[in-house]
Amino acid sequence: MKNTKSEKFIVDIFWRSFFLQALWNFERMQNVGFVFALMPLLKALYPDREKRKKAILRHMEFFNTNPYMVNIIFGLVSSMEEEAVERNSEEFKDIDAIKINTAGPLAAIGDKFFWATWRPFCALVSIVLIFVFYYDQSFDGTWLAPLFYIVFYNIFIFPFRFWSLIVGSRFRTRIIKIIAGLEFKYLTDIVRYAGVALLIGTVIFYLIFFAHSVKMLMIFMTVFALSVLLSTIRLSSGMITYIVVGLCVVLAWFKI
Amino acid sequence: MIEIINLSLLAAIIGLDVTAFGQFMISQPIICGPIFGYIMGDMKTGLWIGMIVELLWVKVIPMGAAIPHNYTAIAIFAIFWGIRSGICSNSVFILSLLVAIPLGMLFRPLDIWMRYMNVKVVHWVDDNIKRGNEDAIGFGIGIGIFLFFLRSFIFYIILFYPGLLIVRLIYHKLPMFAINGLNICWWVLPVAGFGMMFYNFHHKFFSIKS
Repeated sequence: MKNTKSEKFIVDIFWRSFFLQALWNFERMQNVGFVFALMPLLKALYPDREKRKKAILRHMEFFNTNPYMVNIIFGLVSSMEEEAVERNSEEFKDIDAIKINTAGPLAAIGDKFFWATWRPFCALVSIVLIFVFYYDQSFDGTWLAPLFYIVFYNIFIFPFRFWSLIVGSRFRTRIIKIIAGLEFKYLTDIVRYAGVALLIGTVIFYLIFFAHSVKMLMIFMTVFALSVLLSTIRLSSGMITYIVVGLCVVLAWFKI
Repeated sequence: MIEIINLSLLAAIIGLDVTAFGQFMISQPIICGPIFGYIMGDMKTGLWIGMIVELLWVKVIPMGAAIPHNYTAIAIFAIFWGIRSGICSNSVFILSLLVAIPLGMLFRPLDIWMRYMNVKVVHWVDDNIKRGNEDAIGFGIGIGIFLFFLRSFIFYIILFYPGLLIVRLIYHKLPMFAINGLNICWWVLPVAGFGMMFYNFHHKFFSIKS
């Protein structure tokens, strides 16, 4: 492990990384956002405008990954660019290869953990807060649930985005081992099982406090089962909503 | 009209969070729902509708190059139409939600078209870099943000008012049993959302392949 020159630009790259998808396009996806974040470093490493132009054009190629995981690649690429300049090397294939080859797996990990697991879990926790307040008849809104969601979600992701940039820069290719060591798969499973446990608790709470009759309880249980069933056959959320509303209207028609 | 412009501006700024800037989750229905509800004077309803949309669209994620339906727009439209309809009933919010769903889907082709437009901006950035103008990168990012903003702003400002008329028109033609059914949905849709969240957390036990 060593402190690299590129670490001076970590804060700059970090803030600029939020613009990664600002010019997301169907040809090369996040390419301009990637170059935009790296620009302060490229300007420092390549004072010669021609060399810098070549470096910029190299990074203008296709690039796409999860925006929460990208800082690992920024760290890696920064330190490798710096090393290439120190060695006065004209060979950049390694940088391009590692950039492209890590983008896919990191995107898969990020999508699965952050989008598909952490986001629903945080949403569920704040929904529990809404139910707790909503049961009170005098309740007329709370900032607690949305604030909790935003803080709880970002309290993990914000430091992760910064930390991964530093670690990517310092540990270079060893970062792959470090990421593997983080055991995202187990982390995903833990959050997922915690989510299921919390969800079951929430459903029971909802059934007890919001179903005011046996009929309503039966409707709730039927709709829950129907919704899971329709999800398994990959029906869209919009379609499931229409089906559930249609069912409720039919029940009302029969005065059930 | 001023209210529609202001709300469209706010919705377009919040919409930047989806793709263009940050992904801090400000654009999630459970966040923007109460914000819009509060501004329009009914935070409680904004919170409930935001929660319903959050639950029902929980399995929708912007994975890879896929462009998902804009459920932020669904929540914002449902809240705006419901509150501004002037009808004091939960059923009008569910009707607004039903009207908002196809419009949220309409946002997707617009989004896809705009991302194709971004390709032209990328080519412009490319050309400028080759000519030695590095400032084009920053400009390109600025143009991208502006296009994302403009797309949402135009979308909201065009649809806020006609959608409200449609909701009012349909609502006044609804028979009593349908209104009763929509009222039941106020309490039933969160349960449907629980089912989807259960599937989301546990889908590997349900799906055939994974």
